[in-house]
Amino acid sequence: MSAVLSRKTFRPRLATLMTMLVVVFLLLPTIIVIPVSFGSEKYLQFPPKDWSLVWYRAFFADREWMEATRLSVIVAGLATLLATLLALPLTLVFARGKLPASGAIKALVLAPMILPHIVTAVGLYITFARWGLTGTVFGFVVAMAVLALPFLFLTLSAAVSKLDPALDMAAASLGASRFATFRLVTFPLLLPAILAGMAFAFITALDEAVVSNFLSSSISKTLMKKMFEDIDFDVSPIIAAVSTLIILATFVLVGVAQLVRTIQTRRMGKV
Amino acid sequence: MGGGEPRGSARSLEPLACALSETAWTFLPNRTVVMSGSEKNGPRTVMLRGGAVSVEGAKRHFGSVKALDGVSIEVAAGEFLALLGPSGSGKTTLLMTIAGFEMPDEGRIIVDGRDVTGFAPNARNLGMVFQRYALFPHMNVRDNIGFPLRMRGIAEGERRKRAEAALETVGLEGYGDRLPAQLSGGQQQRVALARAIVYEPPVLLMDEPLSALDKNLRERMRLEIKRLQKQLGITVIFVTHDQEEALVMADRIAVMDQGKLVQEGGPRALYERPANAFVAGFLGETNFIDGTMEGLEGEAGMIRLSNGARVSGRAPAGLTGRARISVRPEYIAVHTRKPEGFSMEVRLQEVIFAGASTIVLAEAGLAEPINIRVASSAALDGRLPGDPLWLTWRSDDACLFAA
Repeated sequence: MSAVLSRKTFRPRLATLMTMLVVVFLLLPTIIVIPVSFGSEKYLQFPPKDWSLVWYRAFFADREWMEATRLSVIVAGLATLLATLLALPLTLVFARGKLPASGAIKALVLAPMILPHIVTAVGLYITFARWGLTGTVFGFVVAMAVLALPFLFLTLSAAVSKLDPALDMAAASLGASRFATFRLVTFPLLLPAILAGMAFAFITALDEAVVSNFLSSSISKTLMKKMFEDIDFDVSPIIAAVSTLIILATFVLVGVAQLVRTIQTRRMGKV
Repeated sequence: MGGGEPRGSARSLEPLACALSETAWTFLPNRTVVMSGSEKNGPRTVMLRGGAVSVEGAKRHFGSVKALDGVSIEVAAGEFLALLGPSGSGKTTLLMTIAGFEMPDEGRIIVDGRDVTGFAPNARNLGMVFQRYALFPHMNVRDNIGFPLRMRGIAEGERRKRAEAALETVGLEGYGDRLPAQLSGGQQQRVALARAIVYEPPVLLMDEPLSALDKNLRERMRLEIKRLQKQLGITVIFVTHDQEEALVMADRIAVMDQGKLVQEGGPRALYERPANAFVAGFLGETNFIDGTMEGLEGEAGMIRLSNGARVSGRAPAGLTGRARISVRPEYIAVHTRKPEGFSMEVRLQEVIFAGASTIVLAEAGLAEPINIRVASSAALDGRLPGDPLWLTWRSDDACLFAA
């Protein structure tokens, strides 16, 4: 009896400990760049001796950094849109279950997530080089959309499978066309999942390094490519400032997506 | 859930009855809604004109399974028809075929004089209530009810008024701003009902709409839906596997089995005169006893049971050889002394008090004990298991079928 009791009280403590260890080991190395970025030294230093925003100013003032950032944001945005426009109809068709060779199509869609990025990168590079797409915005967008598609597909598939098929039938029986049903019922119910998927897709496209390294040219490079180059040449704390900004953007995006989901669940119960 | 119900069923229909005389709505063939009577006087209410439905030789195969094996049925305007059968009998497929979610391989569906066989569900103008209500979870009650009106191009203000009237009809006035998740199961059921009648369809299809409710609420909703249907005059086709639900609610019951319509008729006719052993066994409780036919005596057929007893029941013409008799538990009389005429001697096995009635189990040398339902077991007081009893029934109350 006492053994059972002690085990019961022990378990939550062990779980708490494990969680804390995971947080420390996974998160700490990442967030250590945050204090580093606010230093004023010329080198990466932890803890920083004093606090300043010089490296943020340097980042925003540098034309090359700004152009790389602009390219990455544009590419990630367009790639997210493209992947969403592909993933949404695809998941809806998959849910209806009337697609021939659906297993093969699913494997193809998910492949970029499972394959090592270097394989995808080499494949895309060889193909795009032949078509003259390397270093173009269009090339980046297509490549990043391919990489982001699995995240949207998985997020949306999960949400679509939770939709009650009777809602579609109810809408039809009440006189709604397929399009009206999509616009007024399916889409609003999927919106939180779409936003969450888009957030993940955007972050994936933004911080992808391997493929963008292959596809970048000397004049048009993404933020990641620029960061790699910078680490090679001179290790300025601008890197830490950029990393901090990326962490911030990730937290905001994921946080907003999660918030929308929480609000939906609160309002409508589990959908 | 029962405690959360806001209003009694009787009260909810009062405003409807008052308003019916003031305003009349008519559905014209081109699906415009015309209102006669004064718009300003009193709240407007949903009023429907029932339409007839006829299914002609509907067949639907799924691979080798015959979900519908040539079903024909006529439903009169304003009639409440229950489609009753076990799961897999084809009752839901028939409903879905009428709704347009299944296309028949053969046959025609005619609603209100219009052949709708090839129509998409959204072009059929039918009302439908689903098993789990299927309310749109992101819309409040008013928008849910207004949805079919919106699909018909009716303006926002008008939608509000008519949604409020429909809510009143189902006894939920003032609930327009709630989300479905904030309602109890019974309230969601009412909203689903309001949404399905607010656009005044000629026919309302219901797919086991009460199966998700708890027992007390289910029994109350049975009567309420029935009363609402009579008041509105709408045609209802109601799918259920619950025979009691069918008996209580329907004007007419169609019993289905293996894709075929087995028997149709009024609840009493089906209960008292089942066409075959399947209907007798599915609708209500019964005792089946096998035996051999020994000819006719007047109108009654005589059967020699496997335990040697000779009893009688209504027999179809020309029934000979192996047969089976069906006697309902409440049609059997129990005697403690041997009565005049035919009777079956049995031994008391058990007396079980079941509230409104008492179940008596009697051992008769058959595979299973005979199940008898009596209003009171006072006559059996002092009798012990193993004591002899004699059973009788009117031969008109028992049915004979070919075995």
